[in-house]
Amino acid sequence: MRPANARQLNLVQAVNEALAMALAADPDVVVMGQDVGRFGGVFRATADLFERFGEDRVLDTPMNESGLVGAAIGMALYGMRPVAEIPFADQMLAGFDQIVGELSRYRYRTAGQFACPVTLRLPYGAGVGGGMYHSLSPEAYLVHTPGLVVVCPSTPADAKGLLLSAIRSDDPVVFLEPKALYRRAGGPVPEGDAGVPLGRARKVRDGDDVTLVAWGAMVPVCEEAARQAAADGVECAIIDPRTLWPLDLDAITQSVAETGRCVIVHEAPRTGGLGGEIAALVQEHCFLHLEAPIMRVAGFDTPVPHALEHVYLPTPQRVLAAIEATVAY
Amino acid sequence: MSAALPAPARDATDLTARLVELAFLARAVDAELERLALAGRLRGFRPARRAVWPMVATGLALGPEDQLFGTSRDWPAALGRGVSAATLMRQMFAKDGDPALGRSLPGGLHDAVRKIILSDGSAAAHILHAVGFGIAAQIRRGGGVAVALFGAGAFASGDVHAAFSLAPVRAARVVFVARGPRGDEPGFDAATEAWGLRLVPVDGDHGAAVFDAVSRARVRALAGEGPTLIDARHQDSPRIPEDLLVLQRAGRLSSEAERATEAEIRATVWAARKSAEAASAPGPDTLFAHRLAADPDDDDPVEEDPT
Repeated sequence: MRPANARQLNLVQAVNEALAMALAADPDVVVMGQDVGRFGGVFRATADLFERFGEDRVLDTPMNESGLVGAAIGMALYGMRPVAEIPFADQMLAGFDQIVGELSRYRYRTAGQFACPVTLRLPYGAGVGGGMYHSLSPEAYLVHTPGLVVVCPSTPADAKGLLLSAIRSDDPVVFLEPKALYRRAGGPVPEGDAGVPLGRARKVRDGDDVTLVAWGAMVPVCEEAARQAAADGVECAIIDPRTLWPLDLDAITQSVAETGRCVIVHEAPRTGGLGGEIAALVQEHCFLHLEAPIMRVAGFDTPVPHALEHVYLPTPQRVLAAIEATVAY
Repeated sequence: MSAALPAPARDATDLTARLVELAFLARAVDAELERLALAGRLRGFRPARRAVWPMVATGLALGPEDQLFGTSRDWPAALGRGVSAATLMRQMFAKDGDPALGRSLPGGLHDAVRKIILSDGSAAAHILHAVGFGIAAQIRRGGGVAVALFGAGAFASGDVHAAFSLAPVRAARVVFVARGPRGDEPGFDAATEAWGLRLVPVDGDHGAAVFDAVSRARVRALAGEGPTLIDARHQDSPRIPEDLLVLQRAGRLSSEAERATEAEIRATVWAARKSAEAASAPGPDTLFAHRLAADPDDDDPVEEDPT
């Protein structure tokens, strides 16, 4: 149901609105990154923020990801709440030591004496013709790093609400934005600045037969697969964890306990992907409820090939095949 | 040794006397721990050796709102910042009393009260943190300067170049202090000119000179005039530190007084070491503490019980 005070925004507009609200509400918030200032961001997620809030709140930084993350850490140590953008998640690899070795560990390393409330915005994933250097889905690397909160919205409303919560969090949050959904058809977004709580999943769809678990750009893929399955009399529940770590395991296991079947869908490569971890947790907690092996539909174990992106990415047809296989088991 | 933040010295000779006292303490700690490390009784210790002079001088030059960033080798700066030998030894041996629960290698001291962050991570990662701190301080026009100590070997790191290129653009309130031996690393002159960074070379064997350079650089940074790189490396050839010569010329340090001071410091270090060795180590119940601000550790369905 559409909230009374909601407007239709697309996902990138929702991100922009959240950033503007955070900047207006809290003088400690600063937005920083390559071209986020005068240019308004590679994907225009920071459009007009420089003009509205000035150069001390919206900082253009050099094209150096390690420098960006490292400087954001230092600003957070001073007491600010930096929101740093790396325009393609692939490029975070150039700043990986600062993310994994420093940002994630500051609180633990110092036994809570110092905190790093940095929000790192990473437009991620394939589906926009970015080839193998602009299509990475890095959630497994990040979830594997203790000390990071990892968030991935799939709707404009969640993008706004979760980003506001991320910026207000006292933990470092990596905010994965599915750029394939940036400019898809909009959705209702509440006008206020209420955040969506971190660590809570969203039940996208009810269903008694199969539980689909998906996040980011794979949620609409699963929605389409679920529609097609329903035409054949198979009702799928869809759980969008939204926060990939800490994971709302209860939401997933409750659904699987009801359906007895689980299909996990992500666009990152299958081997070592987050789907494997979720599958392990589900079998640890729901073993006696399972009617069939947990299945995964994922990107293939290759880089994302420019010409074959449509082959690499999970499709509703591949998800539907997994649904049919688990029901027929 | 005082547990409070050090008060500014009243005159040059008093300052030098204080520097010598701290450097002697650092040297005694350094020698004791290096001996233990060589005997296999202390893992991960990195000695400071001659660099104790710029390290303690840098720590002593900081103001109460300044934030010190360094590596685990820069621990003598913590003595200059007012950390006691007893607390330092607790950290070195990863025992109760270490403010960070023994989570870092020896020398990786973290003390929020005294604003000290000494990391055993990548050699130059902390330099970027100092730049960010300095950018924030400049934006806020508030008190506080970031001071980053680093070994000259880190000059080859990309993080150093990112830090040096970003800091002047934002007039970051940061002071960089390079210490260690003058080896074959490229000179700082050309690089600092290219980045618009102010370069101040000083004798790394002269603590008072380093103190003076850091003091002036932090005043400059607080005035919004930008960052300074202090090249406080020491010459390869051994020599008597200038600070000792100053005290001797002033009649403040006779051989007899020097021996007495060293004996007193050795006793202090010995007591601190014995106390640290006898102390308890952090228990397994601390393993999950401080992972996240809102940590679901108690009812975490994912983890085993470490106790």
